[in-house]
Amino acid sequence: MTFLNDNTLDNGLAALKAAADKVYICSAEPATYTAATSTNALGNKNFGAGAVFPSAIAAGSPSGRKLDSAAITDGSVTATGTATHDATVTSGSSRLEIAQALSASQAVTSGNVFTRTAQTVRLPNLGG
Amino acid sequence: MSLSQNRKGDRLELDGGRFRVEAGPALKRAKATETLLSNDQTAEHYQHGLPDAKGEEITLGQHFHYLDYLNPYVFYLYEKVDVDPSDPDSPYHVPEGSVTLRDDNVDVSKYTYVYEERGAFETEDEAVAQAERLAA
Repeated sequence: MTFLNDNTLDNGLAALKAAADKVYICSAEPATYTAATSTNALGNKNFGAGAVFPSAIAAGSPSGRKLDSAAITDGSVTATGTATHDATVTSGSSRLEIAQALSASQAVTSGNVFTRTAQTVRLPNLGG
Repeated sequence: MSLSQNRKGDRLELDGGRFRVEAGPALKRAKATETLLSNDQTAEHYQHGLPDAKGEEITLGQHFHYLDYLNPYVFYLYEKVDVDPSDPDSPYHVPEGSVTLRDDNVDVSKYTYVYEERGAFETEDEAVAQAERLAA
């Protein structure tokens, strides 16, 4: 692995921090923006640009730089199904930013609220 | 039959938004082996005991689904279909009085249409051709 200056890592995370605005829960791992926001979407939380990741970029562990997301306390469930993944998107440019598995699958019912704990995005550097 | 085209970023919209073509990693199904689960064959989050692309637990020796991030992307074709949130039998049904039907958030709490996948293709042109066949 090649050493990367923190400034390089920070600029990658800064782009994500500035642009991302919505988090979706999905019935499968989305391959595209459309899959995340429509085909596989079971619910969403609209934070607004810059609010998905309200924290400052900080040192990661064991290496690199990290960014913490806000927790979700009042996400809208829009379809009944089993949520297995979540996706963070930038809706203005129709960009799928992050797709990841939930810590456990969860049956959800349309019209209810979903919650999610804060998540950490880390870009590793030398040291893994 | 030629459909109108409108490129929005990385996405191609056809026929006024009836179809979308978007690049992404191919969805594949294979038997989980130590070789396939190594990080030079599949993305590092596919590991024995962890969820696959459909949320099922990956077990060595059993088939699993994964998105192939490590090879050239394919082009997914989606078609817009109407759904009825007032239909109690629809998975998109949102009961009246639901706590998610906030006045400030109606546009994201109730779906009236969704995009269903209509296949994955090696090239964007092939996806467009399939959309034209579906529209004919």
